[in-house]
Amino acid sequence: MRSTLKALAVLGALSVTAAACSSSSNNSTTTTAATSGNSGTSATTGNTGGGAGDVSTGVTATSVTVGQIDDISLPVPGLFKGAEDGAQAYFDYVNSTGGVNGRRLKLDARDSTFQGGAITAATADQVKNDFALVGGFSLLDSSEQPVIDLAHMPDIGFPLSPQLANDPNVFSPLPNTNDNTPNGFMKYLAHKYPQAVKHVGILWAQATASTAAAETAFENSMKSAGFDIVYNRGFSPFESTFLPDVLKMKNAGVQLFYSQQMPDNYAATLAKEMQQQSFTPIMIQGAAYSNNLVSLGGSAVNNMYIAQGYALYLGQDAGSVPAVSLFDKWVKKADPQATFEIETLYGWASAELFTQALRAAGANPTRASLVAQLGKVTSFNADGLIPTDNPSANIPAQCWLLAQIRNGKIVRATPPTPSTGFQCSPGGLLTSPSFQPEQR
Amino acid sequence: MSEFFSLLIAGIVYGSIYAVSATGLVVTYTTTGIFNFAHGALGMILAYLFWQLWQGWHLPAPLALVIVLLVAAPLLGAAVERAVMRPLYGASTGARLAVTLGLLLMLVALAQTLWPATNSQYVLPEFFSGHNVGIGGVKISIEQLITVGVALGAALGLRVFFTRTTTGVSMRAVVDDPDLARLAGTPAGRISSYAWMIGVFFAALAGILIAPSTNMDVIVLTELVIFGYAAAVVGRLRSIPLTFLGAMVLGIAYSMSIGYLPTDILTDVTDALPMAMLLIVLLVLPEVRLAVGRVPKVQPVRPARARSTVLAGAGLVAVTAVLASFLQGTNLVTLGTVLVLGLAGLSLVPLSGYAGQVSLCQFTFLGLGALAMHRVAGGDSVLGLLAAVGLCAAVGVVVALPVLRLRGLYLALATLAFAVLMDQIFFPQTSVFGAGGTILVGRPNLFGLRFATDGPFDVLLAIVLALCLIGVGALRRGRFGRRLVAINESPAGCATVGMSLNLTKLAVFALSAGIAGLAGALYGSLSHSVGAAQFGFLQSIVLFAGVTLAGASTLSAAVAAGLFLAVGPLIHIPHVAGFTQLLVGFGVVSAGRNPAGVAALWARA
Repeated sequence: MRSTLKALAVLGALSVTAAACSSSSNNSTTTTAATSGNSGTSATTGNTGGGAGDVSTGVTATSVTVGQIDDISLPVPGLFKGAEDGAQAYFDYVNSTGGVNGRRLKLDARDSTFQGGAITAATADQVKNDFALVGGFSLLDSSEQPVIDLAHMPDIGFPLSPQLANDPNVFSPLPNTNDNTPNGFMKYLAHKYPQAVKHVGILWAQATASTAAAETAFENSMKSAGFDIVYNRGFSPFESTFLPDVLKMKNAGVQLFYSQQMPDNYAATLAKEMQQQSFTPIMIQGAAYSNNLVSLGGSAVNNMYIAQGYALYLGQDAGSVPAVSLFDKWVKKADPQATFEIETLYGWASAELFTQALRAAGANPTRASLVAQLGKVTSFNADGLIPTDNPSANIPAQCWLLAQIRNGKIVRATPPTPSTGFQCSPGGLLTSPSFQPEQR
Repeated sequence: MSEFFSLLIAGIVYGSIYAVSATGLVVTYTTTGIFNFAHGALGMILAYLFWQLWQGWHLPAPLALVIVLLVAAPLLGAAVERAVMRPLYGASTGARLAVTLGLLLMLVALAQTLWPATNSQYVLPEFFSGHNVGIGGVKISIEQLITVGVALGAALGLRVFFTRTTTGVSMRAVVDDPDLARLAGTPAGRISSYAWMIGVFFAALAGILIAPSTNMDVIVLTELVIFGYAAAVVGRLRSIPLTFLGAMVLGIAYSMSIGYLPTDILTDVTDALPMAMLLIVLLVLPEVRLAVGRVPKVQPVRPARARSTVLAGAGLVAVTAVLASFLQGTNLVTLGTVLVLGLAGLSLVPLSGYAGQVSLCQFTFLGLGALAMHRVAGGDSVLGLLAAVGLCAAVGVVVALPVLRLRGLYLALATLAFAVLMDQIFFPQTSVFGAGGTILVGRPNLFGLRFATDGPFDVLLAIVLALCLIGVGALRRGRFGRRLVAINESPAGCATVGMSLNLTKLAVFALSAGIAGLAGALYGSLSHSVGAAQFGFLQSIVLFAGVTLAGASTLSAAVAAGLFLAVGPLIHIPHVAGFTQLLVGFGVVSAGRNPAGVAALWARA
């Protein structure tokens, strides 16, 4: 649980983490224009392309080294260590199968120390020594942009900076959704709960500019699907009770509550107070998916829905989605103390996207050939860990998964177990005027 | 009407959380004269101990409760008093605040080390889960009812204790004048120990009561008490019944805001409420009541001579130039960070070191400085640096104007309230730091030099810092510097001889904020990109503690603090979280025996 609260710097950290939560939860409400679930297709890359030269930075006869920069020591100890764990775990897995074209994959992970200058300098150093950047996660990732632009350094990861997200050198396994919001899930809810969506309550994390921006996109998506938001408030990381909110929502006749930015501990407190007041709206949470949610909320979180833009990667899907058990096994090997944050999934998926493009780049990969191959990845789903999206054009997935807590366990609700895929429903993308599709 | 009543009940429940938090704070202040910033952290660590005993080691809950409340809390209180607080009697308000801030940082780092984030959450179950009591259409849990009862009982019971019992009266006597109390036969040391035992007992009680609703979050448990400061100040930090009243007003205002304010202003109002109330209360309380500062008993440090500051400045530039010639990559950035944070630390020297004015909002000015640099003349102009200085100096004056009559603790609280408001309301606006929460900041173009690489830019930073050090040193030796020291040592004396306290304070606030703004602009330039999260109020607290540790009244303290704060995060000790915080905290707490700071020790050696 790297919750909203932890961003204080040291303490102000509280808010910092929210940025990550919000960004991740944006992706968790994806939808699609298709009507059926999709499952299992792996990345579709173009044909093998040779590199422009025989020798590339970071590539030797026996290894390929890639760089990564994460916020580790500050603003909160261990904040995004999960990103490193995820990428390292995937590389360990690939290396156990012989590597890529006989080369082992190595990760040159650095700590940002929450200093933009340190990120810039580390990126410059990695440009000199490493083949590409893979899976980095930092609240100050915009600091790397001038360096990677100058060097045309491929960067495969989950950028938090809107500018970096639209950088031609950046390829994300989970394209950001603030400017290009999938709308199908909201339309699905409007279709399923036509009365309830006219009485909607929301709470969001008033922590950083990115949480506010994410919330705006989220509300626009709701409104475009015909929702009427009758209660709307941003909560501070320091609030320890939502009792007045619960009473107000109850009096206002809220029938559907939806928060995409509420960490597990807040979601549990809210659920308990709703239960206490015998207030039982349809409750949908986005960022609350964690191993601790059930133990924190007890019986109060029963029937809570969790909108997910990923498979149930904490283990619930391990029996039905092979990629989840693989993820679980190798992350634990990479770091027995790993906490399985969402950043862990981002690190793994980034490493997988990189690896697939590297394979496609042939025996003599160059940065240019890697970028060329990444540009051909129009369909990627990390072997079923995430719904299919388009990293090449930077278009987010439009399918989703709705989990529910039943009898103290998180299970798939839509599409139901034993489905292994995601639900896709008509809706398309709600594109902001500023959105520019990638022209690579 | 029923909605109003239910919101009123909810407000009382909400207010009781603030009341319980603030009560222990007021108890400690009333009985020791020390405003304990670490109060929430003490409660947090004892709540974790309770979890460890009950959930971790499976002791029966009542036994665990007894061990924590009646054994561990008093022992911890006595230990803190004996080892940390007793040497502080007679120290300046700033030194006393710094030590409690250091204790806070140390306890947070300790908790994050002992109970690290893992896949299994530290869940503290409710004692009476599922049992509710209906009051006016609102269901209240037994835990919430207990919290209200504890808050009310403490307000009444402690009032009686401090006014009707010998021990209670003795405690107040020791705070008012320990020497006189000793002459009257009161065992001041023992009474002071009792006071800390009671204070930490209430910290533990609040931590255990609040922990289930915050789900054992280290940061929330530690900082929740900050939002109870407004309630404590309503009681002028001495009246527990008034503190209870203040907490109720705060809770009910919060609840009614949710009930009746329009959506478009609701979020900002509820976020701003505790700190806005704190500021308002500080501004409306009678001035005479606010004069809580003590006369410092620490000898002022002799000002550095002109020749030595010039030599030191030249040496700083020379050393930087040498280091910049062979350091590479991130090490160059670290060197630059040392210099920028040194400049930020220097901003506190004239304000806190010379004039004795506590400021807990310096990083807010750094943020504003970086914003000014980003916004003015393309983000890479000298005009941006000038704008950063001008904007921050102006904001410094605006902040200082309403708080001119405050000193010591109350001034610290007012600046903290400003920092938290900026942190929570202003910086998160998408129109301020952008939708991503970060801004790009260029490097100033000086005489055609663009400082694109880090080495030359570090040398530029060293030159700027050296010039500022020389300037502040000269200021200290001059008339203005003597005035600053005078208002620190005897504001009454200054007023008696006709010195304008207000103008002097305004000038030093503007100077301090201007230097901090310059540091912020250069910090942005060094980093290329900065985010709002880098300018949170806690960074200001860490900076203040660091500079105080080094010795705020010396120029070398600024550089030492910059070195410590920039290099500290690079030191990794396996299985120790927040090593910098631990080190700063331990250092500040250890330096409590010498409130003038480490630099003063060297000066005397």
